[in-house]
Amino acid sequence: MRHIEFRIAAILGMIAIAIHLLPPDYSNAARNIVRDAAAPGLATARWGIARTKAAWESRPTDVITRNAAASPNVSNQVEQWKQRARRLRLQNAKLQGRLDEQAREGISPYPVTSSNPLVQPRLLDARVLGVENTRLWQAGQMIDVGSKRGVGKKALVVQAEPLIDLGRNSKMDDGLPVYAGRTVIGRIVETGRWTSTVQLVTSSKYRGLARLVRKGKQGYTFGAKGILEGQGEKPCRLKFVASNRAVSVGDELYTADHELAHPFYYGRVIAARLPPGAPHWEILIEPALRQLDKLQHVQVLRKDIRVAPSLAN
Amino acid sequence: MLHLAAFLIAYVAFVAQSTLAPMLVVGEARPEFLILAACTMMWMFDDATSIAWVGLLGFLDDCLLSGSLGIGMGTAVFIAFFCISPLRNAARHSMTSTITIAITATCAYPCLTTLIRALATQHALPASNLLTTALLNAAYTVAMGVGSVATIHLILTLPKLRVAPH
Repeated sequence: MRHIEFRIAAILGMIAIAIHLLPPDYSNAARNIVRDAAAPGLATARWGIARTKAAWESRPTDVITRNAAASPNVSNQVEQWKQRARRLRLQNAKLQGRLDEQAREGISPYPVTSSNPLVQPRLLDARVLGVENTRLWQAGQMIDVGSKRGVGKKALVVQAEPLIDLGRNSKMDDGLPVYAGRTVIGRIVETGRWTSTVQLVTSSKYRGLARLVRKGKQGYTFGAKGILEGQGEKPCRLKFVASNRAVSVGDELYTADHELAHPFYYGRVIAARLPPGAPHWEILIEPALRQLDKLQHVQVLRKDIRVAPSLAN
Repeated sequence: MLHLAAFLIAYVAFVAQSTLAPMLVVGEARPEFLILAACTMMWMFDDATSIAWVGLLGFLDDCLLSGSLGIGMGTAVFIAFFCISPLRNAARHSMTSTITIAITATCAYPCLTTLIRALATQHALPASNLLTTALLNAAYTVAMGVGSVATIHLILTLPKLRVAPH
């Protein structure tokens, strides 16, 4: 009897080693097949959880419970205000950039009309299928959108909008798109039909083009560009910022994707050192995203190509 | 029929691990539904078949994580092979020994898989967090398992107790 067990364990062990040695494309395909097969179950479970939550929240509550529930609302409001402040700083930096450009090159003699951008960003809501214990293994998070909804590899994943919309309540619409200034969580590295894996900003394999926004005498301005690199844990590192560029602690870091009119937020500079004779700064970035374990909703940025009406016809 | 039930249990455990587990976190402890399913498989099948099912559950655990596959599967088979006989012997004699072995096996799984993954990817091993998190998860999972078994047992025996005086 023991002999049969040993045989089966040995065969399964060899299968496990063979699976481990599979090329990443094959292992990703196998993983996505399993995850996609679980999609109906996941959808049912989500529906059940949402119903239970709704029933729980609609129950009669006493004063103490209502007071206890107020604190998430306050933190949501704080987060919303922070995002609004970032958006305004971005707008400030953009206007400052245009002003500098006009001062440098003069005013155009021809009337300038702005055309619609070719790439139109669209945010897709996604739920985090929290399976990885991020304390132990900060390698990735699974979310419930995949190629079926047009999500491709390297798509940015950002923090979802807090539940309270201060913009509508306080009539403070600044004219910027909703995605501007959102906090970057990571990017998609594997896509299945219905699920995808997010590589977190803190992952040691994460690399992203980033740009600093600095506070100057005349408001906020765009600063140096560099490559944001995860280190497996907080903080991240900003590399390849030339030594002749200005950097200081407190500067904010945003994405530098040329296809997006407005960038996303990475975090802020917590340490900047220029060793004597070094060609680049040594910069540490504190990522804005906190409490990864408690993250439930995210948004995935899908870049849609705008088709001109004449071409569409 | 028993294998179909085992397949359903594995599927439900996979879904629960993805959706319910993050909601049932208490402090730093999180339930491991796939390990609960593995214990159920050990109870349902003979030694050799249960090792095969535990291997499959290890593979499902691999699919939930990013990185290369096979580490969870190999580790689960390894632990099942060495634990199954002591677990069956203990189950006949004492509840305390059974729970101790279950907690040890449940704790060993994340420790070993994390260690192998760290070696395979040359990441730093989160040694300070690893043991405490694994122990907390194991204790929570085993407590949940014992609680579920006790509840089911109570539900099944309660009607008989009510009928007994007549």
